[in-house]
Formats: sequence, C-alpha cells, structure tokens
Amino acid sequence: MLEIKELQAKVEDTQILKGISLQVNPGEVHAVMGPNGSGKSTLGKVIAGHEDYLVTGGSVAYKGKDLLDMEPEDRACEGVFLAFQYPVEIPGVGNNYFLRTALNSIRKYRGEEELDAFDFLELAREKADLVELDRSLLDRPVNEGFSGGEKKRNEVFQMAVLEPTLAVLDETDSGLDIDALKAVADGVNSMRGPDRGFIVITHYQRLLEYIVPDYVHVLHDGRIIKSGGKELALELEEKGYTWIEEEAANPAS
Amino acid sequence: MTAPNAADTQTFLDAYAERGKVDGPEWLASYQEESMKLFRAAGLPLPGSEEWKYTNLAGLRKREFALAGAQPQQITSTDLSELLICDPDGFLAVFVNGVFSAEHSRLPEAGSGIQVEPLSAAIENGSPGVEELVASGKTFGFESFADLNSALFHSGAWIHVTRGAEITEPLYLLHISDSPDGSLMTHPRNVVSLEEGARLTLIEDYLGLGDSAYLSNPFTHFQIADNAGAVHYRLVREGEGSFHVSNLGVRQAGHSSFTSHSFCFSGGVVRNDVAAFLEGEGVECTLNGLTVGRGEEHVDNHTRIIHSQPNCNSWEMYKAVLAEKAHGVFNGKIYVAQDAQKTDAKQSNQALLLSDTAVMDSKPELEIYADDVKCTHGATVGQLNEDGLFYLRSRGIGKEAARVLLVYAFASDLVSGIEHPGLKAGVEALLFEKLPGDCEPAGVTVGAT
Amino acid sequence: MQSPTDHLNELASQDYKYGFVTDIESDSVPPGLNEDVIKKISAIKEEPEWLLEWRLKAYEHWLKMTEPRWPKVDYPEVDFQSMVYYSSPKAKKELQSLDEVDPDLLETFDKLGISLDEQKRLSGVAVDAVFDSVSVATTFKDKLSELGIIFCSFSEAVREHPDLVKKYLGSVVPYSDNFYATLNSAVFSDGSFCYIPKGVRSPMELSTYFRINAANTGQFERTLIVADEDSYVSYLEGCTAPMRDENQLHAAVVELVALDNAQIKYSTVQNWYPGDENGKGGIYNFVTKRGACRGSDSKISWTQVETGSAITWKYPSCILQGDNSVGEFYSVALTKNYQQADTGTKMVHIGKNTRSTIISKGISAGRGQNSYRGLVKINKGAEGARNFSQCDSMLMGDRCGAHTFPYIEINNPTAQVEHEASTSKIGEDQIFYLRQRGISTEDAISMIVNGFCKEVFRELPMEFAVEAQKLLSISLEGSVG
Repeated sequence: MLEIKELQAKVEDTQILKGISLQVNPGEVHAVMGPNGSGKSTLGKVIAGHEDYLVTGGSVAYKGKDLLDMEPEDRACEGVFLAFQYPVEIPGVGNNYFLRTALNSIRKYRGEEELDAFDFLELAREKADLVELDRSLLDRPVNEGFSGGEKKRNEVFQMAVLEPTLAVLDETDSGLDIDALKAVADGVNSMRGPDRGFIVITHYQRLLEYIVPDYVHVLHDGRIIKSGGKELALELEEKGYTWIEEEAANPAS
Repeated sequence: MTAPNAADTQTFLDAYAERGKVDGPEWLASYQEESMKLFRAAGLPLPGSEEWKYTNLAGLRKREFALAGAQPQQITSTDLSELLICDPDGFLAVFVNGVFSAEHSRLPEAGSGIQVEPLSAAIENGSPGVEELVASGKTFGFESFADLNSALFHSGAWIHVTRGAEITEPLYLLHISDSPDGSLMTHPRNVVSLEEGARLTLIEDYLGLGDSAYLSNPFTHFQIADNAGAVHYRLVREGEGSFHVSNLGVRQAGHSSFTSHSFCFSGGVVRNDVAAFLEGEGVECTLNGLTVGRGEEHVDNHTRIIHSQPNCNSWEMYKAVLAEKAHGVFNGKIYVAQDAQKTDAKQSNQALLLSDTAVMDSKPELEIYADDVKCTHGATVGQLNEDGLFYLRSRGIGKEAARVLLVYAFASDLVSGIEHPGLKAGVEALLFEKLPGDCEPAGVTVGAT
Repeated sequence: MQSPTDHLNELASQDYKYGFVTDIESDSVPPGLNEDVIKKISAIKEEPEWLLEWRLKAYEHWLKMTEPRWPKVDYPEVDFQSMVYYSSPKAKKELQSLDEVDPDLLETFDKLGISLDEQKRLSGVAVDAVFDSVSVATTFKDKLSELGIIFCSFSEAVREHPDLVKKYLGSVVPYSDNFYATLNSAVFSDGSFCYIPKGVRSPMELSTYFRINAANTGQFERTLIVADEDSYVSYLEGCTAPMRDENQLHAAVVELVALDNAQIKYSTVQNWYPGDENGKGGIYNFVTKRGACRGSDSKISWTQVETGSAITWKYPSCILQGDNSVGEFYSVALTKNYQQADTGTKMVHIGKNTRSTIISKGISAGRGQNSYRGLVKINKGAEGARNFSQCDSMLMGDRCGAHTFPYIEINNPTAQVEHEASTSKIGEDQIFYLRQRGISTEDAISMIVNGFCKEVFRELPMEFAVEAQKLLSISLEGSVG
C-alpha cells in the first residue's frame, strides 16, 4: 500500500531524512521510534505533503500512485491521515462544521454522496463516544481552548470519522495521562483491520503496550538503523537508544 | 486650520536674536539658523492639530521667556545631595538652568571607554562625529519644539561609549531649573552614541525648584550601533508652573537593545515625545512609562515605534495614576513597514482614575504594512477594583491604606523594572510621596520585587 | 506546488457580479450644483417650503466647508460640478400598486436577488427599493400599516407624515454636521422612512435596497428611523452598482432615534462596485450614520459587512443619552485590490450606566488598506459607563495594510473601558491542517476568514448572515461559492 524508497528530505538548509525505506501493507501497524531530532515527525509531514519539507531524493508510492506528486488535500482524499503532534487552533470555525466539510470533500472526491448535517451529526456523536471525546467539544471552534489531551482525542476522533486507509500518528501519546492514553489506543485499535495500515510515531514504548505493532523501526539521524518485531520496542525501553546508535555506528562489533 | 501665529514665536525669536551667534564652528551657526527658520515657519503646535488634540498650550503662548546666561549658575553642594534622587555611585553631570556645572559634576576619565562632556565642549573640541550626530536630530520627525531646541541649545551632555565598552556604573544627568521670576527657558541637548557592543545605563532627571513658570525643552537622542545596549531612565520632577516638553529619539542598529523607563511625578504641562526607529534585524526595544498626576497636572505621552526591518520585538507599557484634576494623555503608535516581517510588537496603556475630575485620553495606534507579524495593543481605563478594596479591608487594612496599596500594586510593575537598587528606592519613595493618602510605605508590603 | 500566498493573491482579484447596467430612460437634472439645482430637486418632489429652506441653509453652510482629509484614504479631488445630483427612472404613469412598477426595474431587482413580488418572498422581509435617486417600490406597506408601522420612501413621508419628518429630520445628524452630511442635506433625493409606534415589535425585517444605475450620478439618500417607546425594529440595508470606469459618489445620511426602552437593529451589507483590479472606477462611499439612544434602556445596534466601494468612509455611531442605554457596533470590512476603508464607530456615553460594545474585523488583501477608527467618549455625568472594544485585523499578502486608530476619552472615574486590538495573518499551519483533512486551499481560506468574522456574522439576521458569508467567499474565492 505504501512504499517509501530511499526518501531524503530537508527543511530550509538542514537535511533531515537521509534515505528512508519502509513498506507498509494493509492490515499492518508499524511503529517508528527514535530519539528527539531523529526525523520521526519529518517523516509524517513529508507523507502528508507539508510545503516546508523539501523532498531531495527517493520516492513514495501509495496505492501504486506517486504520493509526492499530490497536493495535501488530494492525499487526504486518497485516504492518508496525519494525526498531528501539535494540532493547530482555528478560531471561529466549529469543529463539527470543519469535519463535515472535510468528510464531504473526501466523499465527493470518491464519488460518494455527501452527508447532510443530520446524518453527519449522528456519525460524529457515535465516533466521539468511541474515543471518549466530550460531545460538547463538537460545537467548539477547532482545538481552540482544548486541553492537550482533548486535542489528541480530537485527532483520533477525526480519524475515526474520516476512516483513512493509511493513518500516521505523530506522537499521539505525548502529553497524555494513562486514561487518555488508553482511550486513544482503544480508538486506534477499534480501527485496525485488514484494509488499513498504520504508522505510529512515538518516542516511548508505553503507547505500544496498548497499540501492539507488527513491526518496530528505529530512526536515527535520518535513517532507519534497525527494524524488528514488537520485542524491539521493549529492548529499547530497557536499554535506551544509545546502544543501538553505537551498534549502528560500529556495525562490525 | 489656522496659520501659525507670529505672536506665538516672537519671544523665541527675540531670545535667539538677543543671544546672537554662539561661539563655535560655522556648521553650528548655520544649523541653528536653519532650525530657527523651521521653527518660525511651523510655529508652536496649533490648537486642534491631531498631535496636540488633548494638550492645550494656551498658558505657554501667553508667556515670555528668556535664556539663562552662559555663565555657570550657582547652587550649593549641600543642596545638591538632597536634590539627587539617589546616590550616584557612577558618573554625574549637573546642569543648572541649562548650563553645565563642573563643580558639581563627576565625569569619567579619559580612556575609560566612555566619554562624557558638555555638548558645547564637544562641539568646540570637534569630537569625532559630533556634527553628524547633532544634525541627526532632524531625522526623527519631531515637531517644532525639537527645532526650537536645535536653534537655541547651548549645552547638554555629549556621551559616547566606545566599541565593546560595558559601562557598569550608571551615568546620571541632573537638569535643574530654577526660575524665580517665571521667565526661564532651557533647551538642553543630550547626544548619546554607542559603538558596537557597547553598554550604557543613563539616568536623565529633570528637576524644578519652586513653583513659578519656566519652559524646559530638552531633546535627547541615541544612536545605538550593532549589538549595543542602552538602559535609559527618565524622571520628570518639574515645578508646578513648568512647561516641560521633551523629545527622545532613538536609532537602533541590528541586534541592539534599548530599554526606556519614563517616570513623570510632577510638572505643570508635560509633553513627552518618544520615537524609536528599529533599523536593523533582531532589535529589541522596550518603552515603559509611569505617570502619577494630581492637582491640575497635565501629562501627555506620545510614542512612536517604527519597525522597518524583520525580526524585531518591541514592548510598550504606559500607565497613569490620576488624582484630583490631573489630565493624562497617551498616544502610542506602532508602525510596521512592509519589510518588517516577523515583527512582534505589544503595546499596553492602562490608567487609573482616582477622582471625579481626573481625565484620561488614550489613543493607541497600529499602522501595519507587513503580513507576517504579531501586533497587539490594549488600553484600559477605570477606577480601583472595589472587590479588591473590600478584600483588603476585610483583612483589617484601613480604607486609605488599602487604596494606596492597590494603587501601588498597579504602579509597581513599572517600578520593579528598575535595575539600579538606589534608583529604585528613590522612585519608590517618590511614588509614595505622590500617591494620595497618608500611608507610610514602610507599613506596606506588596510583591514588588 | 502553489503556495497559499499566491493563491490568496489570485483570489483577491475576483470579478464583481452585480456590474450590469439597466437600460432605462431616466429624468435627470443637469450636472453641477447650485441653488437652482436644489430648488429643482425640491420642486420635482413637491416639497414644503420649510424643507427647501433647510436644504438651502445646508447648501450655504456647505459652501464654507472643506473636504475632510484626515481619514487614511487617498483619492483625487472630487469634482462636485461635474456630477448629476438627481436621476430617476422615467415614470410611465402614477403608480397605484406594485404591479405597475416598470418590468425592467422589477427584472433588475430580481437579477440582484431582491424580489419585489410579495408573493414570492419567503420570509417576512419588507423591501423599499431605491433606484438611483428615487424609491421605486415598497413592499408589504399595507400589512405593516395595520400595526401602525410607517414604512415608505422618504418623499412619501414628507408628503404624508410631515410632522414626524420635521420633528426628527436633522435631530441626530444636523445639516451642519460634516462636509458630506451637509452636502446630503442640501441635495438628498430619496431614501426610506420608518416609524414604529409605541409598544409595537415589527413582525418582519424592514429593508432598503439601493441601486445606483445612471452614470455620473451621485447618490444621496437619507434614511430616518424612529422607534417610539417600547418598540423594536430590525432593519436591513443592501446596495450594488454597475461597473463603470469613473468613480461615483454615494453620500448618504442615516439617522436613528430610539426612545425609552426601544430597540433598533440596523444591518448593512455594503457591496457597491469596488473598482477593477487596477483600482479604476468604483464608488466613493462617504456615509454618515448615527443613532441617538434618547430614551432610558434603549438600544441601538449597528452591524455592517463592508466588501464593496473603492473608498469607504463611515462611522456608524451611537449617542447614548438615556440612562442604561446600550450601543453596539459589529463590523467586518474587507479591502482587496486597491480598495481603501476607513471605518469604525463613535460611542458617546452621556447617560448613567450606559454600555457599549465594539467588535471590528478588518481583512486586507491585495493592495487594500483597511483602517479602524473609533471613538469611545465617556462624559462627565456618565456614571458607571462600560465599554469593551475589540479590533482584529487579518492581512493577506504583503502589499496591503491594516491600521487601528482608536480614540479613548474618559472624563468619569467610574468608567470601565477596555480596548484590545490584534493583527495576524492566516497561519500556513492552519491551512495545512485543513488541507490534510481533505479541504482545498480555497475552502480552507474561506473557512478561516469566516471563522475570524464569526462574532460579527452571528449578529446578522439569518438571511443576511448567509448572504454575507457568501459575499465574503465570493470576494475572496471566485469560482467556488
């Protein structure tokens, strides 16, 4: 479904991604871990098509199409979803109104009928309950005045409504207490299925106790330096990132 | 609109003619002559002009003024220590009625990184850059009082800090006006320049002796080079009958900083104009001001901050506490030019009215031509918070003491910004002296640190 | 990839959709202004002597005045002698009912989305349609008159209700008020008049739609609304003009009077022709609007959405005389291309416990210049007065400007006055967030701008709010609407 080959990208003059290859098949959950500054968030932004990130090499194929050639909104319509690490506030724009517009844009793109306000509201309420998002937040402006946890739940809520085929979760666990973390994980787990792939970007192993990945990749200095199964995350938790960085630096030893 | 009234300018023209050409280089004479022409053409600001909408100079127009002689004026040193707001642990330059008093001053020695001398001496000696720097006073867009200063100044301070010199002791300029016959006018000109990376703390103190009339018309300008930083304190302690009209101009090059704290404690009609030009990238500029007015005092603060380059920050906080029949005016403009992207500018004006007859007029302006900027301004005018007053009283604090405490709390963040401990204590004492009520500052502990 | 900024620049130069000209014969006075022209206008309208005298007094005063230059707008001298001061569509005969209105005119208003056919109108909105200098039709008059509400053209009011007109005309905006109001007092042609009697709540929105059609013609209408004790009225105003290369002057005067416990809600969607993308043509909109809260507990609320005109110069104001009276001003002003707006309000607090709220949203795009200018004045006797003002500006592109000039004059210590202002741009991160959710850049911008204006839009009557949002989207977006 998603095939990233030797992807390189930079921000302004700093090369962040230095050749990343990653294949995500439907039904798989890939965890991408790594220390701060390793390029984890950049990977998410590049997949979503943020204009500040300039792709300098490599390719990204998605469902057989060149993802890098698509506008951000077209990627979204094709089923790519990014749960932002820092969701922005949009004053005056109602959460409900915004999400209905988004859903209908995507439905229109797919040639599906648009949802009217009533059908949408029913759907939204159902999904809000699923991720334990306070229903009153649906009427508030997008993310405005939301707590950190509410913002993250709002991201997962949007994912649940938009039903993407590829979801990239960028540090969705950061700043969450344990209850919120469980709620977010439950929401994600409920969406796991044979047709959907996930990339879960995280700094800590904690989230992976709740969202159990099929594969774990360690990102360091813009490259994936180690890949493995879910046990790799536990190993990282125990030993920290240093050993693996050293191992990568001295492959012979 | 009416044309300038010739009668308004006559007393100044007479004084100019009577003084004749000053001793000094040719450029000075032509500069002063040119300035007098400009002043004459513009006249005093007209009633009803936008910049003087809330300040009436009718009292000034009625009077006649004369320059003090060029000879040093007398005060006794025992008096002097009482006149200073704090013990000047650094350098001190005293001007009496516009004339430098060597006897009372303590200037830095040559080679110490800072040069301080009377401007008249700097001009006479041809200090490097003096002509250009004096002439640069024209570039701040000030109105006719600045031209009047340029035409009539005799002295003031010439201050130059050399490259990289960090002057830790403050330089204290005390300008005393003593006008028993009610006709004195002074036009001090202070010219300050900082070379790259230099640091300076300057205290300007304007003090009036007695209640009779006089005109104090100082003009101070700063030229601040790359990475240099200046901290500036300005105290207005003029007499009841005074007209104090000041202009302060600042030009800042890249990554420089300028912080000004202006305190106005007394005066008849006071008008302060400040213009800061942020002309390099990464400049920081802070303008703070506190006015405490009572009686029939009128204090008008006009500020302009001109952002012309990217990535500069400016902060501005002006407060006023107005009692009895005091009238406060604030007009602050933030101008952001098209190139000044990523500007972050904040301006705030707050006034506390303590009586039925106090008046506040406020005009905070934004003029913005760049799109990627953060600019905010806010203004509030009101009286003491009744809930706060009640809370304090319910804890056993007397009504008057509670009022003073709240007023002090309102003013304190501007006092707390003073870094120099002696000056801070002096300003605090003045603040309590000026506030209404008879509360002893010692009995009050507020979180002013 | 196209950057949002490029996109904005492109969007900011969209076409004006109301620019057509109706080909209709008209009666006009010759260009130029003198006493004879004023006498002629007065004669055409068969006015009483006192009104002509009032006009002439204003004209005499006007001759001594100079054009104000203090607003932050820039335009060449207006030639007052080349302008036509009166133009009306040629009446085929005396109108007895709406059915007799010239079909060309009905079609014009239909095309503008203003149906004058009472049957076709869905919701209760009564319309007074003003075409150039005259009112051509007023709908629902009979229904309103059953309640004692007078809603008619100004000329008709002068004929039918001279006492009311005489009592209130010029009582809020005197003939000597300012250059353009004085000019209007001398030459005003028509406009709307509305009187709500004691204790009556108007069951429908009253509205006036202004259309400038004739070339080289100035439009000088005058609106007077009087809400008697305990009454309520919501009044809407809309306007458009054809695209022409020459600038045209619109200098209107609106006076509102609210007596004890009365409420007037006045909403404007101003969409005069703004000129082309090079700043050629467009309407000079120099308007004086003022309301007097004469009675205690009265309330006047101004809401405006200003998207049109080459130059806008207007300050809908409230004189809060009655104790406990309330003044409100909600404004969205959009300037694009070379449009300039200098707009805001005056809140003059005279009575005790008077309150005012100001919410202003300025949006500048292209080379537009947008200024908020407002006065909050608390007089000595205005014990317990409150004001809150918030002025936010949004800039789109790097050739435009946003300016804020608030004047705050406080003469009473019990006043609580707060003013806040901010300037921002649409965040690239906001646009990206919306695009990531599948929303196009165009829609994302429109969504963010509408969100920015929300506090104002929610003050508009429902029908108008939709129109205003659409208008803003069209102004910014073009094809998608």
